Amino acid sequence: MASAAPATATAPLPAHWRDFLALTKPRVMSLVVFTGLCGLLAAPVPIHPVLGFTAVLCIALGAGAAGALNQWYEADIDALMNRTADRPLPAGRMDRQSALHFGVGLAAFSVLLLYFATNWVAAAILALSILFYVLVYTVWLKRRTPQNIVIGGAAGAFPPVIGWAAATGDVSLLPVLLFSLVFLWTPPHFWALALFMKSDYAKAGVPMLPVVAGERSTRVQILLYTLPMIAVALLPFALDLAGRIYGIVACGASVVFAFLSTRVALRRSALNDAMKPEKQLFAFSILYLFGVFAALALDRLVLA
Amino acid sequence: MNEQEVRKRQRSRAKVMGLLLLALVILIYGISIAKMVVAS
Repeated sequence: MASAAPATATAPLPAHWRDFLALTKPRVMSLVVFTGLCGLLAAPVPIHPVLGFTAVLCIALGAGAAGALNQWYEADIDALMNRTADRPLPAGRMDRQSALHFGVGLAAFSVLLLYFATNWVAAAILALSILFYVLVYTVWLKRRTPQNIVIGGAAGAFPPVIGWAAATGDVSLLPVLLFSLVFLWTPPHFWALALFMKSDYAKAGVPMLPVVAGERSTRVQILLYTLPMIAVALLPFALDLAGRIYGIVACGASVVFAFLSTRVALRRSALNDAMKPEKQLFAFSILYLFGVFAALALDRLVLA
Repeated sequence: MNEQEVRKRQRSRAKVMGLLLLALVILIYGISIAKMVVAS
């Protein structure tokens, strides 16, 4: 936490605890926590509820720490985008050093607690995912290449693997497929967002694909990533690693995803376009991931 | 910035920190018990 400021007339107001919470990006965290929980529930080995709860908590804390460090590094470009200008750092409600201390402290704490509660494999993957998000995605890729979210997407794909490792102590084919699914899901998800937030990214100088390569290329790329994503989504059922509930949900949801991304790929936006199909694809992509992972966990619980 | 406002903010942060520390103590206790149950 930030050091307490001396109570003088010129001292800055210490950051509110709600600003520290905002630093962890709670909305982004919900999907990370959910996929981590489903990875844990899909594991063939039962885990004690308290240890399972702690594992999911550590995934959430690790994601929060990565989010805080991301905001610490990106305060300058966050200030330029409407979507992020009200975050604690660009809005001036917190000093950068507090954010850095909070992020590093929370990251170390989440990894140590996960090691204490479960095993070193899960803790090591959590540490790797935090470092990957902060160093590879935020510091290295984001401002340099339009492929930023393709490679950086790996950071968000780790939680189901961490959940699985927390329960089993190892990593097998199913968590690797879940990792691949989230990895391939990330580009269509973020590029759909980038299509209707293009001006924001351009203003901040972030080389997102629609800004650098144009809309046409982005729309094609969305479809090109959707196809292998669907193939990977169906693999757990095809390889008999998941049951019928998963198979039905993954098939149905993938058909809708394919339809929405094809519609986005084939259209061209007009002047002052409301970008409705792109917004629908973005919204459905979140629902898709929730649905597929929920089906996997449900499948495992029903079969058990 | 008046002193009263700063103190109020510090108090609310201290309360949240206290609650988080209490939760941590309970969690560590719970983890220890759970690990003993799993090991036995």
